[in-house]
Amino acid sequence: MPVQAREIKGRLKSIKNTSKITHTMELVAAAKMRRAVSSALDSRPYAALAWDLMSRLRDSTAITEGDSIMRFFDDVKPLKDGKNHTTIILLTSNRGLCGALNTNVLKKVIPYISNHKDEVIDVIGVGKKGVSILNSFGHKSELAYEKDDSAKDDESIRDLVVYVHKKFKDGKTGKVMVAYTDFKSAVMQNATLKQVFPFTKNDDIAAAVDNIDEKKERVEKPDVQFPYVYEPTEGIVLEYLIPRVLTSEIYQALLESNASEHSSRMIAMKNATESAAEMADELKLEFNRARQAGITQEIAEISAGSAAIS
Amino acid sequence: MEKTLTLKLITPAKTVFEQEVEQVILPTEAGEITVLPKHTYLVSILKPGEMLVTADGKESPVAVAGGVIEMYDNTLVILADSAEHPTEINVEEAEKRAEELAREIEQQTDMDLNTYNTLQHSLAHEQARLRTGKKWRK
Repeated sequence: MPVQAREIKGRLKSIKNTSKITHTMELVAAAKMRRAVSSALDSRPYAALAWDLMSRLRDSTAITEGDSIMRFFDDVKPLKDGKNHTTIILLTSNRGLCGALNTNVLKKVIPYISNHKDEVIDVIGVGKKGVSILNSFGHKSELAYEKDDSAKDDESIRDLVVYVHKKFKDGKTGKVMVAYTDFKSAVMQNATLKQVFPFTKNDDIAAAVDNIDEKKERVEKPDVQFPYVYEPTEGIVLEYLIPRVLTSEIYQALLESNASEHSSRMIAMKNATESAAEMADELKLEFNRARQAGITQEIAEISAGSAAIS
Repeated sequence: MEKTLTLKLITPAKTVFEQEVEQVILPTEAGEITVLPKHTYLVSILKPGEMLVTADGKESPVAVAGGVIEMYDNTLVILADSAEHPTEINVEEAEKRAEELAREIEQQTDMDLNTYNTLQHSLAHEQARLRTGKKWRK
């Protein structure tokens, strides 16, 4: 076999091997995606209703409790040092090869950081990729967790929730946001930066509610002061409720991110497999051409040799 | 006068109930309460225990874990950590789990308040499942 043809054959083989790997990864991602998507969809009503409840309480309750609970409903205010403090919980994947997923989330977070130079911004990273990209951007994360990318319950985020809740309650941060990827469909994911604390009136909470009936209901009677009865007391109920809403928000963000990660990886791997097949086809043509050229040349040499003898 | 209220019983895993019911009896932090149609606006804390739902004259029990309840506009929203029908409960397993948890609580000598509360809460939940399961399984 001529040298050129042999070289092409080597490349062809390596491409085929790579495409086997990407194809396997595609199948693995697809299986994980099915699970992640169903758990994200199943817990959506819970998260939406919890958030909804919080906004109804906020609209209807004249908060009379002490400072630590009041903070959760008040406007964002600078802390004692005169600066605004923001905590961003950043959900990204642990591993790469998942298309533009992490880049898209960071495209929301990095401009926020650079546009708010006067604010103190602490980032809590969940997922290795986000932490390392932010590091290279020059912003050290306050805390870094690994993302539980096949989460079945909220165990992996419990510590984080306790920490963030305490931090806000103790007045060490004025605003808590979560950056994640909202799962719309296998081919559509939206990077989102959402404010969780405080539950101020002017943020876009209605957008987080996907239960249309309830949205309508609230439009019909805006700003009615519902006389909610709290049992046993307002303080105890809110004290109990606020961390739960935070848990449900972050857990939902985690599930949405997982669903997005796996579907995005699946699509990325599918594309890789497809383009590998395309490259392999092209190389095969090239290989055949090179092989034929070699044969033609050999025949030419032989016939030239026999012509010289006779 | 409305005869029914809308019950939404939702856990992070699934929507257990979303239907019109006549009456709901549920365990809360401030004691057991009965919610009838047109109940006043209310927010309270759900305790692990047995919940009794009456729909179309039939009573059906549900074992619930902790959570939050909200009554508004003739709709009762219950956000529970978990909720199971007695038929879904594996009594033997619940019994074993409850024993294990009780032992774990006894054995721990120094643990922080959070762990303790979590364990106590899980124990209460298992016991509630056990009670409901035993009572309604024939």
